Amino acid sequence: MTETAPLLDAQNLARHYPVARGWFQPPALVRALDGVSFTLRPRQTLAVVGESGCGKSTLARLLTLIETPSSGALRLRGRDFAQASAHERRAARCQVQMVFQNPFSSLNPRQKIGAILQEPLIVNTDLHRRAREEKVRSMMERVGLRPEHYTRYPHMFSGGQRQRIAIARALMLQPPIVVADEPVSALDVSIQAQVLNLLLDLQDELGVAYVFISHDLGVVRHIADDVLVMYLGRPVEQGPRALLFDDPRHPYTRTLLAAMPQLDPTQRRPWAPLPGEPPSPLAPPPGCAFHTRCPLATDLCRASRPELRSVAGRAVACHHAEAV
Amino acid sequence: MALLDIEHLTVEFGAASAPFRAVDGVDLQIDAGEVVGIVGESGSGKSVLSLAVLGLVDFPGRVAARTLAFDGQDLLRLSARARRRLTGKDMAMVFQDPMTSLNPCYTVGFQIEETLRVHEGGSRATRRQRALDLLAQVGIPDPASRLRAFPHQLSGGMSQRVLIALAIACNPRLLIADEPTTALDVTIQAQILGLLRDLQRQRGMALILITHDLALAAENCQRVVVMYAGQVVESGPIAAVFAAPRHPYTRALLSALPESGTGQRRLATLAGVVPGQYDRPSGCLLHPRCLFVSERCRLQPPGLRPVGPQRQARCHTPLDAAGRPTDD
Repeated sequence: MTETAPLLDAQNLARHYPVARGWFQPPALVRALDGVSFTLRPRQTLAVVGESGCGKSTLARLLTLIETPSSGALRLRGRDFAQASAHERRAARCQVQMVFQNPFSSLNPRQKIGAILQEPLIVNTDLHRRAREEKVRSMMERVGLRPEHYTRYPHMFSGGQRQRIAIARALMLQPPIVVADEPVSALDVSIQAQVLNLLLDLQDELGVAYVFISHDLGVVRHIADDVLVMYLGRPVEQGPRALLFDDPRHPYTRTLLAAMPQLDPTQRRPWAPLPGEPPSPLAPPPGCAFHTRCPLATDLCRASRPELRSVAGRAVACHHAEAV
Repeated sequence: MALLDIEHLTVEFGAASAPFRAVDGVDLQIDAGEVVGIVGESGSGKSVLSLAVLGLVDFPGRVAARTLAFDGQDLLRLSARARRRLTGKDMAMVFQDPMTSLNPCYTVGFQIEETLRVHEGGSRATRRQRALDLLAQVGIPDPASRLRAFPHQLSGGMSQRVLIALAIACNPRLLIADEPTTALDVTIQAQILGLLRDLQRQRGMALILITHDLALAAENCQRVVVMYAGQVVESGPIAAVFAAPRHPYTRALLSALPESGTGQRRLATLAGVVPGQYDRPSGCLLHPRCLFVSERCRLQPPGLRPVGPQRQARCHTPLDAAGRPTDD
């Protein structure tokens, strides 16, 4: 396998959940995720952006093989795990590890840092105690934790330090892919910068690929190579970072960029804030899901759903992409 | 005269022999109709300051100040009863987490009407009508049916609008918004801040926006107060402060933003964390984290002093426009 062959290849991933509506009604179907395709190469960062309820976390659960997709293919190093058996999925999970949003709830308060970091090795490898400790200590050094932290408990650490621990835990099995679900949104700016630097350094050293889920476009602009913008479970725009940030073609991407507060008054974009809230995924609007809030919506948008198509170097799902 | 006049406000917790100062000698004047941002990392005392102003610091906490006056009334001398009449009426607050700030057991309408009943009285019908108007004013669609809704039936953005409606119910002259949009999505954040600014302009309210998002403050405030470990370290007109910060802490916060690091792979960082109860350093509280630390910073705490038109900084060697420390 060559260095640039895709590590992870998702084709038309979908996850639908049946939701009970009552005794005498058939269950409704929530399309939490629909039609997501992307590829991820080593040392690459794919950022997934969107509002709450757009399917970002569902995507993370599929990629980490915690849930099975309802349809579509999920190939890890060329092997499809979409319909794999529980045993195969379990074995493959070492390759995709996860960093969670809130470092205050993702670490077991009763375990010492050493035990927390050893756990992935105990579960997935048959290393001896001494070898495990050695690995843990070298990983701690790599993420900037001091040796004496080995015997401390999570409550003795600040948020930034805890996120370092969570990152160290995700990297213990040397996975080629790390899925990070809003890893810096619970942190202060100064700490956020430290954690972002750490993620980038680890990428340079170890060649990990990141799927970086975030709603902070400033962070995404800094860290991502490719960006996937989602709305109500579907990708609306997808492409290289520079293209999306400098010349967004989907009105939703545009709105997100305009809604991002800017320090520099000259950088502020004149684009009216979006009215309303995302529609309920239980009753998505017909046509383009975004038409209820879109300033450019026409009858065409209300009637037919735009498919992803290639416009100006990226994929966009909008009937009016050329006009935006 | 300033609407809110705070001089040397201190809030302490813990034993009197070894107190922890969450707010340490803060001076702050807010004029009527002004929008002031208070920024800083978590643990810098932003929220405790606003709770102290509203009189919401509970028993183990001790509030002391040389002056704590709202519209000429000394808040520390007021009886508890008179203070309660002010809080929620002339001074109101919007809290950070909209999902936990509303009482889950009562309908939205009941909670708004309760505020109106306590502060303004009136008949049940006029209160109901006023609650309806308020919900319409904060942009809630179909307000009549929302009055009967319970908090769990509302989205985060809607709950935050209800909290704002509650806060402005009695036409406050000072509104404190403590991280009002941290729990919300960016598009909803833009809506909520637009709403707060509109209300502030229409009613001539003073607005204190507490946030850790510097860009958000830059877009919405006229003046900024930067806090660190309970102290004000820099204040001034926001455009001037952010264009050329005089205090190393302000500068470090700004350069840690991903926006400032365009083109570089690594971001500038500020090592360490805000000092807590047991690791408060001597001298300048920032000195263990400061890039420009000198011997004097370790020994002698700097005072807040003027560093330009309407600007103050708490530093022995305030930075010049190019970001280098100056000697005085």
